[in-house]
Amino acid sequence: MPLHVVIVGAGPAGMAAAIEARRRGSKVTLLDEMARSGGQIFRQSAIDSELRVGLPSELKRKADLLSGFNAISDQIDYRANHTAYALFEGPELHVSDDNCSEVLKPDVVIIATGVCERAVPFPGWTLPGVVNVGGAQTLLKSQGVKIGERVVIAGSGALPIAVAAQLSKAGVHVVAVAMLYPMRSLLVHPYALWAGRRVVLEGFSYLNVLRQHDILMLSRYVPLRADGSDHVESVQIAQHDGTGRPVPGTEKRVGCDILALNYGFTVNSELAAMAGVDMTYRPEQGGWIPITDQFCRTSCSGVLVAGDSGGLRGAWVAQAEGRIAGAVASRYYDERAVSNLSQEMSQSFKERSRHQSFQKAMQQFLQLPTGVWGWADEETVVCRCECVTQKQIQTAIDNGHTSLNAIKRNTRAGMGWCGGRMCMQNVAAQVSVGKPSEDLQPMTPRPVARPISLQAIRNQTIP
Amino acid sequence: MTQTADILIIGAGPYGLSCAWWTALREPKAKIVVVDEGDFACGGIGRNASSMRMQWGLELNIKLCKESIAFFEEAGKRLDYPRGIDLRQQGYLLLAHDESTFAQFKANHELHKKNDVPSKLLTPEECGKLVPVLNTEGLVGGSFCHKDGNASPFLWLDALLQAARRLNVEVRMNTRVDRLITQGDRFLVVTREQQDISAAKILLCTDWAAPQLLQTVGIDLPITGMPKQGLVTEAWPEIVAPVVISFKHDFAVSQVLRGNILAVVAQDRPDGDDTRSTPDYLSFASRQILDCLPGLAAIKVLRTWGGVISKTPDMQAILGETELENLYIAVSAYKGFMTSPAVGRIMSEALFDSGAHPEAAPFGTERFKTGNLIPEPLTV
Ligand SMILES: Cc1cc2nc3c(=O)[nH]c(=O)nc-3n(C[C@H](O)[C@H](O)[C@H](O)COP(=O)(O)OP(=O)(O)OC[C@H]3O[C@@H](n4cnc5c(N)ncnc54)[C@H](O)[C@@H]3O)c2cc1C
Ligand SMILES: Cc1cc2nc3c(=O)[nH]c(=O)nc-3n(C[C@H](O)[C@H](O)[C@H](O)COP(=O)(O)OP(=O)(O)OC[C@H]3O[C@@H](n4cnc5c(N)ncnc54)[C@H](O)[C@@H]3O)c2cc1C
Repeated sequence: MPLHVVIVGAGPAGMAAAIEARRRGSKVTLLDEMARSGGQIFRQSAIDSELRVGLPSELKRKADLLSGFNAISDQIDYRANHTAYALFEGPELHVSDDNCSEVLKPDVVIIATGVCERAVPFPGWTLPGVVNVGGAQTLLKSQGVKIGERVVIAGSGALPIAVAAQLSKAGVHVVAVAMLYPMRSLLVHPYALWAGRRVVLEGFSYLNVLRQHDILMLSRYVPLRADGSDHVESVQIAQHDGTGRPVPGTEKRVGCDILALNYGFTVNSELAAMAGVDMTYRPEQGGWIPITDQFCRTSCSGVLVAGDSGGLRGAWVAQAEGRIAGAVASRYYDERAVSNLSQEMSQSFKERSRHQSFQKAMQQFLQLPTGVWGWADEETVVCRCECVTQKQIQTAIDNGHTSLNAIKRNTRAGMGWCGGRMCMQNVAAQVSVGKPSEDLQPMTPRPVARPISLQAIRNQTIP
Repeated sequence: MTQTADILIIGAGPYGLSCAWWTALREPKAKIVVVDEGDFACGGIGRNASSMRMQWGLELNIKLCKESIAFFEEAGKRLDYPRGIDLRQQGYLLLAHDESTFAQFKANHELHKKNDVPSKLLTPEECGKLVPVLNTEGLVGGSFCHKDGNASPFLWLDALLQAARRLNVEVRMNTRVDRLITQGDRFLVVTREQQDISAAKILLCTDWAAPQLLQTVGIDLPITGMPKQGLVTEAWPEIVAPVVISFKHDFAVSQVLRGNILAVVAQDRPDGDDTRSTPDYLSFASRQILDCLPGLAAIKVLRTWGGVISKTPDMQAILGETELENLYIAVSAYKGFMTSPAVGRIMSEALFDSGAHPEAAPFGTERFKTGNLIPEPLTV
């Protein structure tokens, strides 16, 4: 009997897993909350856009993966616009669209839900017009929309550079790029978060694009505050002292209508946590990461994790790991067949570990120095959903509430719409200033992973 | 090293902290220590439906809740907590879908009049007017009291905690009590963190978990725990003004000041302390809610959670001294948020009164021996 494999997330990891699992005869269900497959990097345009976002090499990878996927898409149960909102032991996965929900009880679930972006709070960061770098990119990739006329980008790691280049090529005026770490170190290190040799080349071409467009590149710069009456009009930036603290006297004001930020990522690991998967805290990889073995297996029977949702390692790793997970899922209950896979698919295993080793070097750029936690002032909102300020969180900590659960109950940080995805890593950083953060426990994971209407839950199909 | 305390309160929920605050007011010189095995609001108080009512079917409960609601109205001032506790008095609507429940409402109404509880009996149409999203089909009638409502349990607990600390109560979190040992006329309290405490009096406020510690001194009381789950929705403009309880659907639905709707829907579960979310809860709860309040269909659920309620044979609190001298107990029986102000006062008096405290006495442990149980007819 072929196994039923359900894959959550149709990014490179999920698509590769679907192709591989199908190839090996499994019955495959693939769902994604977005209207189109492709995930974060290979997001497909909703319109017939003239814009070709990304470098030729990236576009080629995208075309290859998509054609591989299209070849099997009519042999699998692919559901766009479907959200997985809860996962229980079993595994038992609850999914919904706008009006209905369904309980799936497959043999194996592969979580390939990727990451979301992380910003560091500072005065003005909640003003309209202050966005995530990836948000600007998504708008461009999926709708062909230019997010603004004059864009300032601030952040760390490789994504801000890639997006700056993509925006410039699309004709957006990128006024300045303010990076946390020196460009030089980005150049001497294999700097792309989707690293690898080819990736370094991609990174160089992005930098070339920026040079051609004469964009002001500032390294060791941090944002001090964003200003504007009802929309961002300018941002004040300054050099920092190496630990993230701004150096007085180096302030610069830059006018803009969009400020795009990226200071790393948060993995979408709530489904894994909900099912009871053992997790570990690794801020530079995206917060609480499900612990997996080389076959993507977790501590929870029937639950695999692949791609960035198992820790930020980029699209190359995601694709290789997706293949591995798809194969493992198809043979999940046959231990011998699974252990043979490391031989049988040695190419994918090698590819994954090669790219992974580049990631190690890359991760230092996502390791935020402690000074960044001083950017916010007392009135700066840290939890946007519930409007909780830095001062409220500090008061809670001073009153002895030092677990994330206790801070949540005392301040409401993390109780809102996003379920803490946006703020919890920042709260965790504030709690653990000067302390090891390894043993910091996450908030108790609870259904639902995404907001879902009462009627959709009521209109439920159960097998 | 062993610390000493005149009064050791175990459990920093609303019962423990309200008792601590009231006791510190009465006995400013007493050394009062509160310990809790977890962190802020980790017990039932962090998992409840936030609601409070004086519409009960038993005078004892009416009195506790009337006094408590009057205190909640002034909590900001009494506890010097200017932020306030988000009290929202939009009333409480109890729904009867059968004649016998409505007959109970009528009987209660007489009792309410006697106790100055401003409740009213409503026709199904009046219920529908009050809550436009309500399905009035099959409804026999309702009972409504505008003084009832809800408040934030988190703010309430924070207010109590800060007020108690200002009165020099020492509150130690992350300190679990494993065992009580009698030593002469004192107790040695053994903690997992090996910071033992010697106390003259102990007040046990660990709700459903009380038997674990009572057993260490050979006391057996009929207290059990039962899992109970809730859900919270996104914030919405006012759509269910009063808290709605339906006995047919076994739920309480309560829209709080911030706009979120909290719903606690009862589901048959075996006794125990399992706080995990069960896979079938959400679909079961949404069916019950939408059958009664179909107008909430489009509202999105943000999260579910699980907690444990305390049960006693008559679903009434246990208050007072145990058979062991100087060992006191206050267990809520599933209404410990709304009764905590009054219970704190009563226990602060009972701790120092010689002989039985008149208000605590009916809630005493004796009733389980004599069989004089005091069942509350209006429990969901
Ligand atoms: C904002 C951003 C921009 C990036 N830009 C680049 C770039 O320009 N170049 C580059 O090389 N790399 C880029 N990366 C990195 C690269 O996208 C990732 O490494 C790669 O996409 C990881 O693939 P994945 O399949 O693991 O996850 P993703 O591609 O992120 O796919 C995850 C999918 O899961 C879906 N999903 C998540 N949760 C649920 C749920 N509960 N129910 C249903 N569906 C769900 C999402 O809609 C998404 O489609 C970027 C990453 C981010 C976050
Ligand atoms: C889903 C749900 C909905 C509810 N809805 C309502 C409502 O709407 N209105 C209402 O009034 N009530 C409601 N309740 C009941 C209410 O929450 C409880 O009655 C109340 O919390 C009891 O207060 P407490 O202080 O006695 O116990 P808790 O709040 O549970 O506090 C007890 C404390 O004791 C600590 N403790 C336990 N054992 C030990 C030990 N050995 N050592 C040290 N510390 C220990 C625990 O960590 C805990 O913090 C609800 C309960 C639940 C679960």
